[in-house]
Amino acid sequence: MPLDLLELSTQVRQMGELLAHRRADEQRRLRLLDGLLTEYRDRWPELAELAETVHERVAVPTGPLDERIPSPPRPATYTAMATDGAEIDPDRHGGSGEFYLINVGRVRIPYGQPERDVELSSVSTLGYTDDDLYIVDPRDPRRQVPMRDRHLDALRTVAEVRALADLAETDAKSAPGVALVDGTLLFSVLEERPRDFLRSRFYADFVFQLERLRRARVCVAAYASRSRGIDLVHLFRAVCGSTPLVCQICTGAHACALRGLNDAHLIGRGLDRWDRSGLFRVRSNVHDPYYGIHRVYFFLLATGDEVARVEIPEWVARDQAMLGLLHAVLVDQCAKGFGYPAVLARADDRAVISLGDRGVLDTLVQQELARRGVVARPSAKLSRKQVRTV
Amino acid sequence: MNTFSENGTAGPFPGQHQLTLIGEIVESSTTEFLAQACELDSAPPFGAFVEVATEDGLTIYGIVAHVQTAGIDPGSRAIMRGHGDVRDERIYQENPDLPLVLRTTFRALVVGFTEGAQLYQFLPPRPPRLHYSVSVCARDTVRVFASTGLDYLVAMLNAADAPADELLAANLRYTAAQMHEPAEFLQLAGRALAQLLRADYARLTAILRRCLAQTGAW
Repeated sequence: MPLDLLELSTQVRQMGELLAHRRADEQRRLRLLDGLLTEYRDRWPELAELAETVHERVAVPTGPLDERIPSPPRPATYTAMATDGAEIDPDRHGGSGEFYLINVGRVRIPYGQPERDVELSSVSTLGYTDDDLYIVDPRDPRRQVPMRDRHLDALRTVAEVRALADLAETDAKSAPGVALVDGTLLFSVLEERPRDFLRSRFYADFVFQLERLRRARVCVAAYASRSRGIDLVHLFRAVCGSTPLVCQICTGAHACALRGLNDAHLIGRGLDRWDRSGLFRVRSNVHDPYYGIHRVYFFLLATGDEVARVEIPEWVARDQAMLGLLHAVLVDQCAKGFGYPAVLARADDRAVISLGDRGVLDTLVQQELARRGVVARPSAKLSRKQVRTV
Repeated sequence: MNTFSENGTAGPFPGQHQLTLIGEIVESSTTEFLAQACELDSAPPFGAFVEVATEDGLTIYGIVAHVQTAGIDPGSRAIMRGHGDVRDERIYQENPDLPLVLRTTFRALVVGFTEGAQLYQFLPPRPPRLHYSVSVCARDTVRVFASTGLDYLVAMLNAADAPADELLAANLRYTAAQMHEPAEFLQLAGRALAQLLRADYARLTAILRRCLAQTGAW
């Protein structure tokens, strides 16, 4: 047995003790922070001004911090669209050549429109050409970055929003539409050098897809279940300076009271089920230069068991009718999906690549290579894993 | 529900049969096949005759021995969705995606086949092909099949993964309803069963009771 369960059980016990202590400490720190929150509840313009001077990514409040908006009535007729993706990274041990696969689940469910068909589908794309496998610096073609890991994640994120824009553009528009992606609109692209070409490659394409959605007049949002976003926490760190020794709130404690907390801890506690918080704009030095009119706003939504974070582009945030529709639709979707939007759950079902699917793809590739007389030999390490020797 | 015609002049069933497409084979073996119903909850009745034609001239007959509706993805489970006054059909109206993630399947026990003009009540040389169409047998087909002989009753009696006695009784009731003289057919079938179950009187009477319960003759 590869796991030393005896040793692990001791560590699990110690971890449990620490987690219980941490939870109690969290409650204590939240009580300390309540004072800070009350103090700044109505001083949000001051906070918004401060936010513009902070270097880190922060949340910019657009109204009182304790703002709660109850859900509008759940709509009976609307069209929900969602996409979600999964990928297979190039496998250097597999021997079947370098390729990646992106699978995007696409779902459109017209609610309250019995004459229209439901669409559940997936689109799989194989990347195998040099153009697919390497991101080339347009100013210096000798610089090539392999499309794998975080970069492939970014490519998949763009593919998800592109599929969503395709759905939105082809929608019959017989009812108001809401388009959802899982996760965030503020995806990260790691750059090796400052002002590298990678961000512009991914963000420019991403923003183009958001623009297609805007022109199709379909409300778009990214939904993050049990959000751990800390943009507001970062703002408060800027307020207090994050120096516990001289802080009135931490009163000389060994660590900042905000450590380990997230935005849901700060403003999610006051929300009743189906309430949403006020809107916050995310000021991000990384994203803002690329996003333009699609700058990202977010609100928190209490679904009963948890607090979710919903990110929207600025043109949705400024449209009260769209915002109301989004709120009401998310409530209906979470009710139908038992706490998670039903349409996103369907998209996830269509995106998942099972072990069986992976096996079929490997076999297809190996058969094709064999037909052409190319031997697909796995690396020594993979061969050793596949056949255990004693 | 789709219907299509098949020219049956070469077989034991003269004339044109209007076949009702009911499903497509998704698992196939010598003794039974599993079909997915074309529409959710629209499987043929338990005990009904179904048929599958193959391109090499065989038509294989089966008896529906099990019907099931569940999630399409293995491992996905249906959960309770009703709330307030949203019950029954309204659950489907509120969740229009459900018919696309659920499916109804039915398993049919192979009981015979025709090859050319000849009808046989034993297992065919080859199982039906995957993805081929399954249709409910026309009334004439059922009459000819049951009038040819009752050897197929043994297949049902020995069915391993089905409630054999229930299946047999359901099939006899279904067949009798298709015949010109239901009572006469039931009498014949009763005699054949008495032969087969001469050593098991209790089982025989239990089956007969199920066959005749709706006629009031028992």
